[in-house]
Amino acid sequence: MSILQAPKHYSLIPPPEMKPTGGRIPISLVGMINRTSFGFTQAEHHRALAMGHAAYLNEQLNHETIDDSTLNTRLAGAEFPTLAMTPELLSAVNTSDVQNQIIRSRLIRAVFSRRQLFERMVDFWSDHFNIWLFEDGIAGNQKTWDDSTVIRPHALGYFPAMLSASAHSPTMLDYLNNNTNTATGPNQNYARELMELHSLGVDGGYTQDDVIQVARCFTGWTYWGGSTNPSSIRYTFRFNAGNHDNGQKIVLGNIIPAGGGQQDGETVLQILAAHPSTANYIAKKMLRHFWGENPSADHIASIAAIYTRTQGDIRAMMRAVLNTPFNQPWEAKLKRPFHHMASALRALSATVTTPGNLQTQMTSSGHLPFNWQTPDGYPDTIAAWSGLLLPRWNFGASLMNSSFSGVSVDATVTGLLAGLPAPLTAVAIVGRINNLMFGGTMPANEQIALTTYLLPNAPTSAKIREAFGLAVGSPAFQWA
Amino acid sequence: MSQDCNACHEYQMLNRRRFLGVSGLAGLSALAAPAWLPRVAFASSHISGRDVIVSIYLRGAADGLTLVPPFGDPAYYTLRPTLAIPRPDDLANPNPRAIDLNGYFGLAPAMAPLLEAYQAGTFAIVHAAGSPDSSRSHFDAQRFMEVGKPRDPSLYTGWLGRHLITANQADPNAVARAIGIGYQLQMTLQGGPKSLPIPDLTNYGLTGPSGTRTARLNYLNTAYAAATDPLRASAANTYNTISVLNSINFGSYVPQGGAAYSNSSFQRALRTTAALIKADVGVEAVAIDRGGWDTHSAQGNLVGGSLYGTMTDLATGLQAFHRDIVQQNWNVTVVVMSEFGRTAAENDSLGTDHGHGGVMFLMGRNINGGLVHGTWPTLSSLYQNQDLHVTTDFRDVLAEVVALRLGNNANLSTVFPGYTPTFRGLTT
Repeated sequence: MSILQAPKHYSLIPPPEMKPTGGRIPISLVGMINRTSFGFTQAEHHRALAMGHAAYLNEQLNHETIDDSTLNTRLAGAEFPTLAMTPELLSAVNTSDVQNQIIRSRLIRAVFSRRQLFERMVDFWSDHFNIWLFEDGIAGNQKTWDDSTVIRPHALGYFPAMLSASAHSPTMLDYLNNNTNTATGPNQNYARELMELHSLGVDGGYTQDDVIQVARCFTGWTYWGGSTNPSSIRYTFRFNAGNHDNGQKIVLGNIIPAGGGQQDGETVLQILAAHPSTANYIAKKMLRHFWGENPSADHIASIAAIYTRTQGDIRAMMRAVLNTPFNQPWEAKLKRPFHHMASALRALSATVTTPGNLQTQMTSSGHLPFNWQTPDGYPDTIAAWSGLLLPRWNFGASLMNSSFSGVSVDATVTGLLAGLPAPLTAVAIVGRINNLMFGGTMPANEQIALTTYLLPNAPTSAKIREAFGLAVGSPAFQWA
Repeated sequence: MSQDCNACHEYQMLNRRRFLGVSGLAGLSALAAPAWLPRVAFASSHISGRDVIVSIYLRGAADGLTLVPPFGDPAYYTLRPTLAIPRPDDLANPNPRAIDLNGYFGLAPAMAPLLEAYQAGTFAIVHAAGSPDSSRSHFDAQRFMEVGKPRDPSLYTGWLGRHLITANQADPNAVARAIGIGYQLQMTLQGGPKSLPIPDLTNYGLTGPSGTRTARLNYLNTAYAAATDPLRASAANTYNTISVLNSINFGSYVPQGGAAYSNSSFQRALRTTAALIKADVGVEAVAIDRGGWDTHSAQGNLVGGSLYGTMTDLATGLQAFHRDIVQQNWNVTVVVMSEFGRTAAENDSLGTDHGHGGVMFLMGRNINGGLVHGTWPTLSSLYQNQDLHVTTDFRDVLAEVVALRLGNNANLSTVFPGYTPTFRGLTT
């Protein structure tokens, strides 16, 4: 051959840069439930239909009004004794017990709480103020306290209050080394991440000098150690005046006068909370989590304006995110693995008596709660999570194959198939799967493929269970 | 779209390979082949002209001034009165001393296992290397390096991903061109064709009742064929890669050359990568991460310390891979990088903060090793008054590998857009 030819699969022209997205979709009530919860259920769908879209959203936004006593009774029981413990008590418990309980309670709350939007917010903020539960340090025992005093009280509250609570959280100060940040030995780690990840965003307009100045402001912010007396203050916030740099600082152009003591850090938190970059960064991050990866600048600005007007009212921002005038159509959101797992357990009305038996599955999917090592939190993009599908496929199979002891799904006529006429047909079973898991929105081709799987013989109970498992792994069930 | 066709093509090729496997080709090799090789072993000449690349990212900003101490620079000892690695000739110092490489640079004691590869001439160090961007954010700096261009928010693909897009597929039969060891595909590989994240190569298959496994896989294959990208492409790659990985018996793999991998996750990744490379299934690139380098306090350069342990894992892992792969004459290039170095001075927490210039490593039989490359800017003049300057742009290092070891010189402007690299003589 005399002419050198490129093989067919060799593209001479590189393709244009395309950010991976799942495209744009119109949002339905089913879609709205998926976006505001850890997964659609038929019961939730019926309730939302009866209440109407607006009233349903309003209820979820006002989570305190929703009765969650069944869940709370379980959480207060023998299964989770550490959840309500003080720092002092937590420090006396085996670390792995504390870690297991916060992980397992995270799953139980996601699946069984009736305050679904609230739990989604907890998930969102747990990544925003991420602390690695397995870090060498106090996190193993004390992250529970951060969860119950930083994340949960403010998840639908006011952002400045949450930012401040996090800055006073011993676990955060320990995780980001501020407990070693002193006048003679400044440590920039917390100061940098406070601005980069917690408030302004990396392009929020701060400089390396601001990092140095903010670190100086937070010198002496630490916690009382494990041998302090009285013991009741162990692992609580401590301002150690002796380690504070009392000189003047200039932060983002603001002069912080000398001699301010602890007030220096408090002033920084106020500056950051009131900064327009913070409004923009939080608005953008919320939209990316709940609406889609590529919100327009106008869309972001409209949510940021609410932050500024309300001084950081998360509930007001979320109301606008979910009622956005930009909402037709929304961008597709891929469920992250934890969301995917919780959504399957919810849609299939699973009984979860031993949530610990799901920890290995969560680990193998790459999304065990509180197990992201770096302070940026678990990623929230389609590109990050679309590669590893196998654990999602296997979760469906394992769940329906009763591989998780203490986690069960009743896929019979006494359970999920109740009311279907005998003999059971492939078409009827797939119709039920469609209603239970997709609110009737299962794509036709996936219905056909699943029906084909159940045919040609009369479906056995084993095959029915496999069909449910395959639906958990199906393409449509991956999207929120 | 071409990805549809690719998926079909992949599937057909897989079947063709299976056919070859039972029709004689493999029959011959089966006599000599070790048991861990895939049953579908075939001619291994596809990639002889190009190296497989193993890209190792040290996440958290590795302290290049400890890994490869510049003991010949007096300022090093002024800036790090406690943390500096003692000079090789500082016999009065009770702590383990630097291992002399060339009279000016050394290896930290924990990095001693790398001396073997360095002396063999197949391990090269590039010092004062890194990104010219001033970011001290781990996440931005990693992203800038992995996409291969600082501060371009419109780039969503990695440098290695774009290499794979533009390079002719090395093995026309390959169903997996790149694997990122982990749960998320590394930014380095994003955008590349037939590229998947896999946390554990030895455990990648569909669970559930074996009697229905094929039928269930077929359902998933059918359902995902009509799905939206990126799920569609990802599912096709998953479907095809399951077969390939399951054909390799990782469990009975015996490393060669006296290589001894530990059971750390990093070394398990290297060990399984070695088996994957020798199985010769056409994988062209593997990305591996090693975290734990963000040593703000009590960094612990000495035995028992945190950084000591991290360096030991890196060094012993690379030593094993060197014996197992490089010494066995496999065409593989290893690159090791980190987002930035750390402050030249130690802080009062006996750690170091986010810095600038760092160190990069290259390993392979065609690497100009046994040398510390680069221009030493000295530590008496510091970047922003606190860090080692960058005198070698990381893209110079990577571009030379792409051009001369991965055979893709023609597309360097796509792999590293907006940058004209200078080759530094790092390859032979």
